[in-house]
Amino acid sequence: MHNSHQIASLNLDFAGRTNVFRGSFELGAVEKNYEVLDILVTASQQNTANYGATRRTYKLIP
Amino acid sequence: MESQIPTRVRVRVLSCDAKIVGSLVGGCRVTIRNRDSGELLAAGLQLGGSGDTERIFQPSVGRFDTRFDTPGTAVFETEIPLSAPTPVVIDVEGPLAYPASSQKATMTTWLIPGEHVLGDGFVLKLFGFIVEVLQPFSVEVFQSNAGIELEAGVRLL
Repeated sequence: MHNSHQIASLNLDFAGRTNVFRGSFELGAVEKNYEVLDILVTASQQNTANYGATRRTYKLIP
Repeated sequence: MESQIPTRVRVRVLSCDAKIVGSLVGGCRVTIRNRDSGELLAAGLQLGGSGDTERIFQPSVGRFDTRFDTPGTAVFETEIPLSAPTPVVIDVEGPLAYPASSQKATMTTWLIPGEHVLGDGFVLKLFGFIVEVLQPFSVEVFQSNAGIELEAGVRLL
């Protein structure tokens, strides 16, 4: 999310290291200092009720 | 005055589709309260190893077999003085080293004076994953139109 608008939704692929997953996306234009990038990563597992998530925010500048 | 009989109780916290939640992820907090009065009967941490993988995941487990009660496997064990059969509520929370991934579970049961709960003990299951953003680092600042490489770690509790 960039300033509360979704800019990307992606599935992370296995990164070649145990338990690590990777992906990439493009950030759009940043208009002013201190805009916020909000990344939410979720995980689920087939055939179990295991779900997990974490959220992190980043500072953006033009 | 009624005599109090020390009663040993074990509690274990299990991760769904995985092993015991051990010290590697901070262990779990365990509390045992009287279900009627709310009195705190015991509290502490489950710390130790995550258990014997082969034994935990063996395809067939017979009645009365234990899966988790092996040397070094994490457990919360306490001794509660009881004068009468007591309804209790057991709360567990963990993994404590990862608050964002921490989960809770609760069960109710009875404790009977002198009837120790040993072996695997009361086993409560937690569901979930520990999810961490590995990259970008939290202090990074991005500019317009940057390409962002995202890397996440996902593991069982």
